[in-house]
Amino acid sequence: MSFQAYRTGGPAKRIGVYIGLTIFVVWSIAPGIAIAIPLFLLISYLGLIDSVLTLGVVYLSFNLPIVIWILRGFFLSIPIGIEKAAAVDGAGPLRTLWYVVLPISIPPMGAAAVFAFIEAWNEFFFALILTRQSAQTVPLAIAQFAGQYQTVFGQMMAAAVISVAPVIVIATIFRDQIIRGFADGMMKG
Amino acid sequence: MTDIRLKEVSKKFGSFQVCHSIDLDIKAGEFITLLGSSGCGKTTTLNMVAGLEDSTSGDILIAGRRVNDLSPVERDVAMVFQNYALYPHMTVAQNIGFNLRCAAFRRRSSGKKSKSLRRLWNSATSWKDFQRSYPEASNSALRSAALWSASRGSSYSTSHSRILMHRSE
Repeated sequence: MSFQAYRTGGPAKRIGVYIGLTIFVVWSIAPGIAIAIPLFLLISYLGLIDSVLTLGVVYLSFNLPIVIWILRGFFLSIPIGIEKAAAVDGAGPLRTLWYVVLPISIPPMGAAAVFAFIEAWNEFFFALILTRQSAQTVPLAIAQFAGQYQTVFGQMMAAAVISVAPVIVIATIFRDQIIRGFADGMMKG
Repeated sequence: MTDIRLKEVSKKFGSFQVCHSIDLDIKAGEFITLLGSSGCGKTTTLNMVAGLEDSTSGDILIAGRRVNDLSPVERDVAMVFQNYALYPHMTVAQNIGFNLRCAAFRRRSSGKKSKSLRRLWNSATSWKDFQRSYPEASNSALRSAALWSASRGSSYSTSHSRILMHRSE
């Protein structure tokens, strides 16, 4: 993800980059229900229903646009002089990415990672239609407390509180990185 | 230090010509200043000499050798950038020593026995020059703290002392 965002954030502003980013944005604003049926048919056809890997790939594709958008904004804000200085120091493009660009990109990468985690952790609709038993997510498990004849609100609330804990812990630990990352990444279009 | 020569060097960005057939002869040790209005091509000329921009036409010679097709590191040049272009996550010492680190990588990848970074560092005569010029860099704080929030003065001295290391290879 970060490498793709790094390449699109380079100095060469090709029209293809903008077309690609436009597709990413359109993809991210499309309502989930619009792609639910074709996605379900595709995954059923491939025999990949009820797989953790399938869910991972689906969530990856949903979160990719916003992650690329955040990281691209940050990469554009990195002074081009730093890359030139690395070239003068003898670092090639990959070494520049690994030793220079990635270490200074940790805050926005952390912010993007936390954002993607929260999105995937809380997602309900696609987990409902793409899983059965073995790949159920936490929101689906919580929903099962609502039965046909009664809803066990006490246990449902307890499970909901527990399910929120990882998000709160991660958001608390990486609070500074998230704020810095979004500030760095979102301010530049 | 070596001679630098530009023979009819031109540079175009699309249809916009920035540098028009520049002829320049700089002797070793000579101090040259490029003066001109904003956007007239001063930085572009320096970038072409350093190998950070390709010239559209003309020859660039360093020490009598045509370097048009060589990468910046193969040209063995050093450059101080307008905004210092320091690596903010590295310490002062790491910023200054990054080109030694890259040199160690290159030696390793080319199959030559690699000197350790410490040996390269200690053997660099320019490091002694650097310590003489910037005694504050021996301060342990500057060796251990990253440059995220360094003062402008520290950034300035670090960016200037970084180029001294280029002599060590």
